[in-house]
Formats: sequence, structure tokens, C-alpha cells
Amino acid sequence: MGAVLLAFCFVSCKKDKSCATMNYTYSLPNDLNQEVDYIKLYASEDDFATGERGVGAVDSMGAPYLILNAQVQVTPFLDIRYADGTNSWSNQAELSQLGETSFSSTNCETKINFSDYAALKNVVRSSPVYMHLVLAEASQDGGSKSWLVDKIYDEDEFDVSNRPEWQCVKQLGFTFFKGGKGAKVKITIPPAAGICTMYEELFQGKTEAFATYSLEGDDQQELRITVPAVSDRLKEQLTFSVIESAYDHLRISLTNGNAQVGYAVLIPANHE
Amino acid sequence: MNKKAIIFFCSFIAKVLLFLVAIQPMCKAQTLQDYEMQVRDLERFANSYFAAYTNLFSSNFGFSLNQGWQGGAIPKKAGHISFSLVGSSSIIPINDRNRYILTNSLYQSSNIQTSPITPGMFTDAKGGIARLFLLDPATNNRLVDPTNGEYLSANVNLIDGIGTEVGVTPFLMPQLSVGLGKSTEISLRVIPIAIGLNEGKVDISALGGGIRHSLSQWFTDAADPDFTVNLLFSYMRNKVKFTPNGDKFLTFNNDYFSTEGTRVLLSHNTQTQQALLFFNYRIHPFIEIYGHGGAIRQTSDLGSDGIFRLKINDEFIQDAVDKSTLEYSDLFNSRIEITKPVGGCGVVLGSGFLKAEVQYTYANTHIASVALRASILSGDK
Repeated sequence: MGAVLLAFCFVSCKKDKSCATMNYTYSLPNDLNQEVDYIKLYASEDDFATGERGVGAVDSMGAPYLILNAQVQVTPFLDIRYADGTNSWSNQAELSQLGETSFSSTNCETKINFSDYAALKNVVRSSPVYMHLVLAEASQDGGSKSWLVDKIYDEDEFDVSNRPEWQCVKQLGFTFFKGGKGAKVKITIPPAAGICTMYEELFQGKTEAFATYSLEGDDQQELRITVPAVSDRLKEQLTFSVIESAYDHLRISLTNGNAQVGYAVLIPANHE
Repeated sequence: MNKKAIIFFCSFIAKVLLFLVAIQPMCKAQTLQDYEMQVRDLERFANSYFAAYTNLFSSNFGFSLNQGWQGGAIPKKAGHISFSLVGSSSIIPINDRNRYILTNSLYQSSNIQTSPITPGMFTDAKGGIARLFLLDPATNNRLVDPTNGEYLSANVNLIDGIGTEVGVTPFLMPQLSVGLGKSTEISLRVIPIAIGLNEGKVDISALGGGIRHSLSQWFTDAADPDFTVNLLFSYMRNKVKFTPNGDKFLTFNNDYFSTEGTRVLLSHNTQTQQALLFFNYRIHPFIEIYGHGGAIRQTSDLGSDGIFRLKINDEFIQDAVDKSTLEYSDLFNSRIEITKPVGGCGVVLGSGFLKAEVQYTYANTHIASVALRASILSGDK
């Protein structure tokens, strides 16, 4: 038995198979390559968020594939975007379930093969609003985008931007970071904003607060900002209906501290 | 159960619950029970991960335990007694199919993100990570610290392989065999071992037996034929139990938490039943070779008994939540049931008082056995 053990050890110990880094090869259905506008693979969620160090699809005669060399511990993220803005951002967990994974120690390669295009297409369904919130244009890899409240209208479409009851809302700034469901958002209010009691719980005397955001509902038109352990009233005030969205403007419905409903038009902070 | 695995699980739960403490001062509208589902998901993930990590050991130990039964001719007359020392081990080649665990085969939960692969038990592979996020109970959205934007999350390194690069399940066991006459022999194996460790006591017990009978005696009149055929039925069961010393195991006590009242025992049990035919041929008075084949069934249970109890020590938290103690029973629980064909060969060397036997069996994986057998009484002569 000892001899057999030694033989096995000899065969298996000849080369280092520990694979400190791995080549992750994602094979995608050919149909996907023909239909989507953008595919990139990122080594981590942080890279996915910033859009740095992403790798694009390699053109091939058969199915397209992406190759990423990274540490074994990473969780690759796929960024798939269709021309209409539908994307994969909030469905990474479902995406990883669809891939058939295999491993080869010869070249330290993990292959993730997506063969079912219909299933894949069904998962890539995140709302284009995710892209509008974060990017300046559809081809931008990642990053963040800051928004200002430009105008506020009441239910009768009158401009109420300068009304005192809407001043707290009017002075809010939002910076959305790329990342899909549960991505980060920074909410700011100017130091000289005066007393905004409706957001006191959020800012607690500071001028910025971090939270996460997601688009909820069947049509993903409810922009929900989640802050840990706050009152139901503030939760309601941080839940908006997205009425219209584009890269250069956002129209949402919201409420002020008096439970009045209004419509805010947000524009990028660097808008000219 | 691997000791690293235990430490891993302990830190796993502790880190998550520390998150709960971190946000509880702001969480007056919520209770610890609001987050319990997320902790339960972690428990399920950990369970599926440990089952996958220990799979090679759990699924093969019982098979190897039920090998090493003697081949060769059976003493004809009653009264023959022999004593054997049997050693056996699975020898599981590590290859690309078992070097890593594919994490998409594990329990999935929205608060746990893992690397695509993580090392299996016997490999030299390293790496593998699980990232745990605390989610808002109402929206299932990740939570961040409002002051700095950091996710309320923890990275937990999953367990590296132990680096043997070959899977083994070694054991050594005494065996007593008694001839019943008509070329029939029964064998019994018993092994009670208790090992004292700083962390606690490990009790290993195994028992079982086999009965073998010569079929060929009914078809030949030869007094001592060179070619014989035997039938073997065997049954083995084993239990490995880890009883921790006092509060040392899966327990901790700090400003936030204590595990007072926790009492968890870890156990691994197997049961195997086997039926084999042996075809023996004596090529020399001192050398007998054989081939054997049949089927084997194994049930393997990896589990725990007792209660894991987490209590919140912090007075503020105790006031803020409805109930400050969570209890978990059945922390680990996985069962494997396999029926496999068995085939192999062996050689018996020696004659009279002392014999040595080397056996190879394939039952789910490669199994090598060696035995030294000494005749105490020769009822045959």
C-alpha cells in the first residue's frame, strides 16, 4: 500500500497544481455576441463598479469567449448590455448559476460555459435606468454620476421649485455608483441648507450619507434607497417612482415632509 | 470533522452577528429575529459547504472499512481460530474533477457571494472566499455604513486543501476469525479507541463482521483443491464522535456575545453492507491469488448533536431587541447513500501459522488493504 501511495504522490507532486492565479474563460452563446452592444468581464465587484481592468470578448469563428487572469479568490462579474440599455448588472448571482463550470489544472483554467442563450437572455433583464443613473453614455465602462434636483413640479405641473416646503428636497444631491441592486449611493445636502428636519434622521448633523439603491417592482420603475434602521417615514421619502430616465435627465415622483407629492427633474451635476 | 472547518464556521457566525450588533443601535424598529433568516441562510450554506468539503472522506471511509476480509481457501473443519491485524485505506486520486468544489453547486443565498471554485479537502489548492453581506430585512438590499459607505460585510477565507494530493482514509483494526465447519468461517472486528486532545475527546469505534462460505466444496470431491470459490457477506459500522472539553468548542465570550449553554458534539457514522464472490487459485503451497467481485452499499452521516446557543451580552442590545438569544440545533447534517459494484484482486503469502495478505479493491475508489494473520488454533489439522 505504501508503494501505491508513493506512486500516486510521485505522479501528482511532479508539478505545482496549486494555481495561485487562474484563467477564467467565459464561453458565451454566439447569438449573444450578435445581439448585445457590450460585453466585459471584471475580476471583482470593485473593478466592475469602477469599470477598470475589464476584458472584452475575443472574436472567434465559434462562440465568443472572455479570458480573465486573476487570483483564485475572485468572483468575476459580467457586464452585458443590450442596445436598449437592458443589462446584467443586478443579476450576477443568477448569471453564475447558469454557467457550467469546469476546471483544468494543466493550465490553471476555469471554464464557465453558457450554452443556453434563451436562459441567459432571460436573466439579463436589469432596467436601463441602472445605466442612466451611473453613466454619462452607454459605452462608458463604469464609475459614478452625480445628480442635482433641477426643478420640482406639483401634481398640477406647476413649478414649485422655490416653494419653502420643497427646499429640502431641492437641495439634495445624489451620486450613484455602478453596481446594480444594492449598489451604493451618496446623498448630500449643502452645509447651509438650513434646518431640514425631514432628513435629519438621514444626515444626523452631517452633510452626506451613504446608502444603497435598487430598482424594484415588475417594471423596475421604483427607485428605492435603503438606509439601515431608519423610520418608515424616511423610507417612504427615499422611495421614488421613475417616470422618465435618460443619461441627461431623470424625472421622478417624490414626497416632501408634508406628504405632498411632487415631480422632480434631476440633471447631472456637470450638466451645462 | 476538520478542525479548521470548525474554526471557520465559528468565525463565520460570529462575524455576521457582530454586524448585527454594529447596526443594532440604529435598529430600534427591528429585532434580531428580523435578521435570523440571514443567519439561517449562512448556516445552510456552511452545511452544504462542509458536506462538499468532506465528501471525499465521507463517501469512501465506509467502503475502505469493509475491505481486507481474507481471501483464499477456507479451513474446512470447525475450531480453527485466527487473529489478524488489518490495515486499509482508500487511495483517491486527486484530479480536476475533485480538486476544487464548484461553489454554484452549494446552497445559494442572496447575502452570500463566493468565488467560483474553492479547494477540496485533500488537494494542495488554496484560495476560495465567501463574502457575507448584511441585507435589509424588508428590501433584501445590501446595507452600508451611512457614515463611510462601507458595505456591512465580511470576507471569510474558505478552507484550503490539506495538501496530501491523494485522498486517504486509513485505519488499522484487529480481527478474530473462527471456523464453523463445512468450510464456513465467521470473522469479527472491533475497535474502540479514545483519543484525548486539548480541545476534547475523540471516540472512534468500529465493529462488524463477515461470514464466508466455500461454494466450490459442493461441486468437487477433491480434498484440497487448488481452485476454490467463496461467498462473503460482511457488515461494518463505525462512529467517530468529538466531545469538546467544556466551553472550548464552538464557544466564545466577549463584550457582545456569549455562547453560554452551548453543547455540541460532532459525529461521523458509516454503515456498509457487502456481498462478494472470491475466486481463489493456489499457484504454490505458499502463494494463493484471488479475484473478487460483488456489490457494496454505504450510508454515511456527518452531523452534530446538541444546541448552539448565542446570547447577546450587551445591555443596550438586550433592551433594544425582543429576544436576545438564538438557538441552533442540527448545525451540521449531511447524509450520503451509495451502492457501488466492487471488484479487485489479492494475494495470500505464507502457510500454516503466519500468513500475509495484500488486497486491492475498487469500490467507488481505489482501496488497498494489507493483513497479517496468525493461526491460534488449527481445527483443520
